[in-house]
Amino acid sequence: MEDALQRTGKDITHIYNSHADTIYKVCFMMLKNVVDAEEATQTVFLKLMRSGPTFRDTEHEKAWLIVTARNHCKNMLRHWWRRLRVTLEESDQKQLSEEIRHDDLLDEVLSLPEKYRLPIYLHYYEGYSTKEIADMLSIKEPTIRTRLHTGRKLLKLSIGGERYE
Amino acid sequence: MNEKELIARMSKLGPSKKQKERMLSRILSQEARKKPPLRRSVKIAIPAIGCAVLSMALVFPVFFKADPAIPSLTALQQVQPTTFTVTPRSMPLSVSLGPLKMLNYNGYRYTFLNDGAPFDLTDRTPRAGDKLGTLQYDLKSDMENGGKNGYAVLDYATTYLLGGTIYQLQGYDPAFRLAVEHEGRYYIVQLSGRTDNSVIPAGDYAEAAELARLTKEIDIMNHSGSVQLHVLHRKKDIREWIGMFSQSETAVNRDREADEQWAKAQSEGKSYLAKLRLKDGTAIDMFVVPELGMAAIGDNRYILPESFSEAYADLFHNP
Repeated sequence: MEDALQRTGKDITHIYNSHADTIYKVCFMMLKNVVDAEEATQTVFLKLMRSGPTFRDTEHEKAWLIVTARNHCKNMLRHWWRRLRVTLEESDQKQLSEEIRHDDLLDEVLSLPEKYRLPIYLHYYEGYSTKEIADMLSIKEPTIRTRLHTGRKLLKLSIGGERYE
Repeated sequence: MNEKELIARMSKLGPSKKQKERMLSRILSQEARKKPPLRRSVKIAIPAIGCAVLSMALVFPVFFKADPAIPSLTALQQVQPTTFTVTPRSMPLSVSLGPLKMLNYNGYRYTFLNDGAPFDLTDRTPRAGDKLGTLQYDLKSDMENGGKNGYAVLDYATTYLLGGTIYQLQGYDPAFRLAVEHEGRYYIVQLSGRTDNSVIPAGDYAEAAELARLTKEIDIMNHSGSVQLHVLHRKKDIREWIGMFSQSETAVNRDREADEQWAKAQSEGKSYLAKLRLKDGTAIDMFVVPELGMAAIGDNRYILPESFSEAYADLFHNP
């Protein structure tokens, strides 16, 4: 059965303008691919349009979008077809992301194993605490701390512990 | 690298203004639903995949022959007619209200699909030889009178469509689904439990419903089904899910405390709906409470194996 659209274009535009940057970055951090990150971002906002969840506030709304984006990207990553396609598309992708390609430091971040990339992004860029990330990703807080610690080590990040400990 | 450099690099990830406009316009026009034109690399991949599939088609039968433990798919197809689409028709308003619509047959309790809506069985109209009996005991009235007649455990007792005729439904194990004809219209009932309230083993349910063969995808949703959290659509994932569910133990000797725990989990949003969407367009609702390590289908409650909780822990969380 086709779902009825729960939110109007105006509503979705407003939400999109508030969170598109974050959601796209979450998708990119997971998928490392411009085309797929765009597709995933669109899908997340379409899900929001169709499912019509109600939110307590903007933060709740943002958290929902991040979790949905993460789940959708995980699904995409699991798909055998994507794994095969991404290998074949590597050369295309390099052309699509010139700016990113020439940035060695960004390359380092994107070269981190998947499980470290998202916590690093959510903690350092979005400013979420380890507890908030743990709640959002349904992973135990000590695990998040360990992942941040290992991620920092791998990046040779010259900063101390988590900011919100 | 220091934190400032890290943040500066991440801000470069995009999206650019142009990208944002492009994505928004696709979202608003729902163009994202349409498939993009095939890219060069995809065009290269398609023949490669075609060859791979062909090779697999040639190689797999050899493996199946070599391993006697794997059942022959051909034999299954011979005894099980192909699946078909059952399309619910609009339900008359007069029947859309009232208690749970169910019937008893052969010691099992069945509930009416789609809350008792009739189905279009034009291509699968039951034959006279498929007749299994007539619904003759008014379970609804008996329940209203405190169950004095004991119809709750009696075959052919029903809360709905009294006088209807039960038929075997072609393509399904009668232990899972049956058809009911009433005033020229057909209805479908689905196994929900046993009339003696004992729990149907998970493996038996999965086998009767042919979950591994018929399930097309599994939607993980919040308890009410209003928010989709995850979808399993790969055959491998679906089979793994069903395989692990089939190993569940039956939750016997349920006491009031267990029921209260279950209800509490539901009210606190710790219960999730896993909608098993079948190839015939219908669905089976499975409720999962990860915190309790339990699941329910119909009237049956199960203790999930630890492997299930470990494998799917990250699927169950409300945003």
